[in-house]
Amino acid sequence: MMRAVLAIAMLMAPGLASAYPQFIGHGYPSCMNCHYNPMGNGPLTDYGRAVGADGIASGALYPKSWSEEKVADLSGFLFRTPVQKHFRVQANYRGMEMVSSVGTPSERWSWIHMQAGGQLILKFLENDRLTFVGEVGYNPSSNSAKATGQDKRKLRTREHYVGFRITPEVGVYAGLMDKAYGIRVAEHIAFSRILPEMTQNDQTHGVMIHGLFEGWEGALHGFVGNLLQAKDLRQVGASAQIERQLFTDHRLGMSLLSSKNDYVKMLSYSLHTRLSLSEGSALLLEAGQTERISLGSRGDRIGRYALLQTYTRPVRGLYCLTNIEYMKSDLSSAATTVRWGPGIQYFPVQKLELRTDLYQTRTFNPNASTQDGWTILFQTNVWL
Amino acid sequence: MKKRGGWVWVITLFLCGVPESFGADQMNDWIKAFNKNHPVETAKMRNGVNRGEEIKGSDFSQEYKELLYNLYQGYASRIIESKSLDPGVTKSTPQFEFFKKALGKLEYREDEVDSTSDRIRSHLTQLEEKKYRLRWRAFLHYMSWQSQAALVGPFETTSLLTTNLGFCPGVGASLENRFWALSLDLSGLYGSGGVSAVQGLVEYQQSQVPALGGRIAIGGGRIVSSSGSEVGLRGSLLFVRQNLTKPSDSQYSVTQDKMISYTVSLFSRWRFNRFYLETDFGRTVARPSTLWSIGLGSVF
Repeated sequence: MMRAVLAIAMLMAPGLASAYPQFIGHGYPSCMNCHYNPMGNGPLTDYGRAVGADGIASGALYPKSWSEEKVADLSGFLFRTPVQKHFRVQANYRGMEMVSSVGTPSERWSWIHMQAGGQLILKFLENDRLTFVGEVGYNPSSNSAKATGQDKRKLRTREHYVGFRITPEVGVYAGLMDKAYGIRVAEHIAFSRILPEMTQNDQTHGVMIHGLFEGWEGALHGFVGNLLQAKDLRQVGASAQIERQLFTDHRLGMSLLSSKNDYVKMLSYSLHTRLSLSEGSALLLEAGQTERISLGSRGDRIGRYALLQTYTRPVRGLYCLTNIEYMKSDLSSAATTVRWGPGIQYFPVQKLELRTDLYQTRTFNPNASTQDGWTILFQTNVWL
Repeated sequence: MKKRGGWVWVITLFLCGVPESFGADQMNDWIKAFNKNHPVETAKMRNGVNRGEEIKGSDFSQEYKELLYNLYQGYASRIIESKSLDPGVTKSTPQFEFFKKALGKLEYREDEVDSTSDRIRSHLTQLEEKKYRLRWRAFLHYMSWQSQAALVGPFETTSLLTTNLGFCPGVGASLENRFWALSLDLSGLYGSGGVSAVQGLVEYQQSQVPALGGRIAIGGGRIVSSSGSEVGLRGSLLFVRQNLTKPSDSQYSVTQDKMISYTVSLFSRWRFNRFYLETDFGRTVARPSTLWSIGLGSVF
């Protein structure tokens, strides 16, 4: 049971991001505004940290005499204003109290350390055109690794890459990164991340070309798998994501991902949109399909998924959200799963995120009616 | 400023200066003076403001300019003192605008005129945002809910669970201002569900069992953005008629939930001009059942 709980918790562990795609609702359609990785996730830029302090976090707990400038000045590492421009250190911790099987005899409460990591950023040239980003963090053992005793590593790097902006519009990034595909929502448990295998440990070594033009943004990513994995498991392939800006702040995009290793060949494609509804309100919608072909054995299947994430911001710092997800993991089977997750995300002060999610999972199967599954998460995210 | 309402407004007035409150007699004297004591200047000014004819400041006396200014501040005072968009405000606003334009053409006490104008605009916006309006809408929701039943046999009772999906077309009315909304929704319900035993040894399974019913919902929401995004709570009365087939064995009978249930739900709504997307997630009172829906609607 404990292993199952840990496995679910690891699936739910979000990345390092503390800026999220829903912040399009604040007028930030591009991840590049706040992240060193132009496709999002990973360490925040100085600007991103200042936005988090001034635009995202509640100002209610600061002394009234503090100006927004003073608050922004405290957004650096350990609340200090950086005195030089080439070197940045960041650290974060994310933990979660998870209540699984809520309301059943097997209800269980457990605290999970999801992530504790440090990031190092080196940046050079005008406008930080050349960057080195590295991250190392605590890696909870997976269920299967614990069972087999194979995975002894307690540290894991999920990102290390070099980025160079050839022009302000075009950049090349090489190293270990998430694949460019779909909306990079924080929830790794999201069906939109599970089916195309975009979860928290699915980063890959490769080269990504990113472009940000008037009204367009996109990335082309060629990859060879995670070089720290066994060679036969590495997914080698390419992915692409492109977004078109609609009106002022909305985005409409599509993604394609093709990869294979010695055992499986995958093709995923999706359409998505991110809509800004002003003052922090936003809608994110993604629908896609993954074709999974087993090489040398039976088990081919096509899975379909959809994600609707909705956000409203009643007051600064507080977001009411709903995750609505659909998954048919195998089109040839009758069962369909819908997961409905209302939640609250609160940033009481900068560098602190508190989040509560309720997940209700309902399965639709013409041959059997089953009780809903319930999970409650209480997350704490601290970054320095 | 808008959200904090009265207190912020009082503080602003304190800091910026409150337009002098003018008595009705004083205003009447000024209006008379404007209409009768300065007929030539007033005619010129009316032509200037209403027809766009050119105006020279030197054609108007200092006394007349001061009279215009006093009237401008007098109407501003009347508007400021109003707590709602009442007929007094409706009547005073065109007069206020007239004197604002007149003073603008004369370039007389411009800073004070602009300052008062800003305060009046802000006050009118506030009054406008506080005003409740009735809006009608039509919608179509896609809804899922579960219901319980029991298969009662000679030796044991088997729990049955139905998982339903259906459509709810309906109409609604909202009484809303910029910050709050009260709504009443009426909708029909047509759907179907699959039933099976979730506890017990007896097998029972049916699929595509039709369900027919309706829903009445009353809700209150907070509008949290200028685009009209709303989050709120809703209470619903749900009526569903869904007949499960009785087993052919006469020793068994099916006992179903009551056809009427009550739910409390959390809803959110996002607007795109006339259209909106709505989600609803709730729990049935006194029954272990969850209801959710997602839908599109249009305001008219």
